[in-house]
Amino acid sequence: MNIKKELKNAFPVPAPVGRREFLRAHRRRELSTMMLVLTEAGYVRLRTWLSSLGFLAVMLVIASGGEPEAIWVSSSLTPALALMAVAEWGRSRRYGTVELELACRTPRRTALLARMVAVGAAHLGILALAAPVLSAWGEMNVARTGAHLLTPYLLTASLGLDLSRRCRGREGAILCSAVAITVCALGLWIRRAWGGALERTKLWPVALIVALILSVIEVVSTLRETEVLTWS
Amino acid sequence: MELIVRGLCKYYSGKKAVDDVTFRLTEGVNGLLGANGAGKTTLMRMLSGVLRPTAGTVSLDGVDVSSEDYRAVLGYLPQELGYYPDFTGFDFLMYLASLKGLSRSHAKRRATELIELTGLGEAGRKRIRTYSGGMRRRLGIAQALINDPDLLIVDEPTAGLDPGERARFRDLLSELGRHSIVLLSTHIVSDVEQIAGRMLMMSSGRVVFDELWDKGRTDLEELYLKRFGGENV
Repeated sequence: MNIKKELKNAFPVPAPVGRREFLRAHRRRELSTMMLVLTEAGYVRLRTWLSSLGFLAVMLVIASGGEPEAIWVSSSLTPALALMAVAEWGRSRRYGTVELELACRTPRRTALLARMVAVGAAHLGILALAAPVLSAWGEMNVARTGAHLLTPYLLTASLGLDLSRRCRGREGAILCSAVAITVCALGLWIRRAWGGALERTKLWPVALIVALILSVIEVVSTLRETEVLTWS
Repeated sequence: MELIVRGLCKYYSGKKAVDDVTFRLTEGVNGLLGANGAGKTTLMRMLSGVLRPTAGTVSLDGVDVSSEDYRAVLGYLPQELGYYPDFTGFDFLMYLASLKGLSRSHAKRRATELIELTGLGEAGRKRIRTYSGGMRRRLGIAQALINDPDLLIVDEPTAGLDPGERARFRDLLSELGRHSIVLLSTHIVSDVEQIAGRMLMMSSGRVVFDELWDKGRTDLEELYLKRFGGENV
């Protein structure tokens, strides 16, 4: 008789003990944080990416005109870019998937942060590409051009995040759009009212710092709130 | 495996939605019955970790509900399934699989299997906005199973399914209950009567009935009506 068969018959394989417990204890997240950010980027709506690229194209066209107003017109467009970002970040709330996402293994805070990083980094990239071109055709240096583009973006994003936490659905969308329009109009009005005087002062880094602080506060508040399902 | 719930409470501005609920569940299908407003959905949300209890604890083999390890083995189908209308069914499963920490290849395999298992077939490649209510429910069931959960919590899973689909889903849950803890909340008595090995009933935020159930019994509705005659199941 075959020795292998004989041994098999003599010593039957015992039934697995604690197999499921062992497998559970060794279930690791298969997705790294970097992969999560890339995955989130992959699920951002195509129209958001296309519109963002469209904004870059428009800014470049405006810059190529060589008009001194180009930077002000371009910076008045960035609130619309920020509005798209806020809409993407609030997508789960809008479509009622918060409950599902909260029950997933990846903490919702991490998932939302990944989404913010994916969209925010892309938008920063767009502004970073536009700034040197606008600077080259205009009268301001790159840092100042960057600040002019970034400040209204951050201001709209932070106010939009705040509003979207307080107001839901259509009301929230309308208010966020109103904020974007207000910031856009404010930029143009400041230019018309105090344009020359403002450019001679050192107020622009102060405005950027204020917008940055507001953004950090709002991002932290938004991430904090994701931990709990707010329920009526 | 053991799910232990101790002294679980949820209060909303003075109102007791869930009041001092305590029970233990093991592998198998466990039915949860109760009238509208009895506190079933609030309880399910707390067991799924999406709602923080006012007091009490929930643990699965000693792992607390708030930990990532608990959610790693959890499958949850809420009463109202939110979805991204522009996603296809397949994309939606892939997206939730990524949040559940599954690698792309693993997620793809599971999503394909589950689209077939839930009978979505070709519709898996269509946008969710084109789905009927029943198809969306089946997609919800598929997403709850994507990580091969040890603890499956399903809230009114058969709402919107036709009788054939309901029977198929009952068989699926019965099969899953062989090696997982399944908690099924429903108001349709026939959904749980033949597959649940344990029956819980809730009324006014409290578990008022918690007993092993003989799957051969056919008097669940009668029993319920006897106990809570005035309430709608």
